[in-house]
Amino acid sequence: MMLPFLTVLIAIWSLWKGRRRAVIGWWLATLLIYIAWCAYHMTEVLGLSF
Amino acid sequence: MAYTVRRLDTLILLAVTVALWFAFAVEIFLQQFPCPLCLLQRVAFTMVGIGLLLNLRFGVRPMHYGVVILSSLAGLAVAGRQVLLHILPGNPGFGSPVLGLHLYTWAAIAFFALLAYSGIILMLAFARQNGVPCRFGFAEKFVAAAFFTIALANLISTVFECGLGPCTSHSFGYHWFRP
Repeated sequence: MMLPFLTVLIAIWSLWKGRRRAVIGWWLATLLIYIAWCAYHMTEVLGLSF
Repeated sequence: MAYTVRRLDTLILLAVTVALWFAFAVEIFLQQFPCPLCLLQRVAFTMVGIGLLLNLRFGVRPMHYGVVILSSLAGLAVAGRQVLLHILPGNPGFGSPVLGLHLYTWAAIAFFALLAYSGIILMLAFARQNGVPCRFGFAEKFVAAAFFTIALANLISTVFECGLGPCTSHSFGYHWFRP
């Protein structure tokens, strides 16, 4: 779970340094990692009963 | 307009920053440690912040609002999932409520508001760009005609069903067509 926090921090650092393409790249990497974690944490069966 | 948008973006970025610091303070001082979905929402808020920071650092561009919109959609998906996890009656929810709502519910509202904000800014800030009318090509004309036709068909069927006033909530059918 630390990986998206790391990549998003690198994106902010790149932004601070004025590297726009790097920011977009690291943001995109964060989004992909985010989706992977969503698939891991949001696909278990819900404990619902009606 | 661009100056106003920059100031608005700064205000929104401040709100996102305050929300992240607040969640962090709840974790540290109230010892309420975040769940995986809570952490993902923090990531999504940070990704939103990157879109806003891109505007402040490199100038206001539609692409940067695309970053905000996609990040907000990602956050809304997770926050919405967490709201639904605790939606059953009797479920206490995760963590302590703040102003009557749990933090993930506030997060869902915030992500929704960020989407609305991006839509409004895209409408207002770039209203004068690409304003030249273009002629339809053949395929475009076909799709546009099909689109216009279904819009017209929906208007006619709704008039048949509801007339010119409010729809009835107890019986459904084309009352104007077959009374």
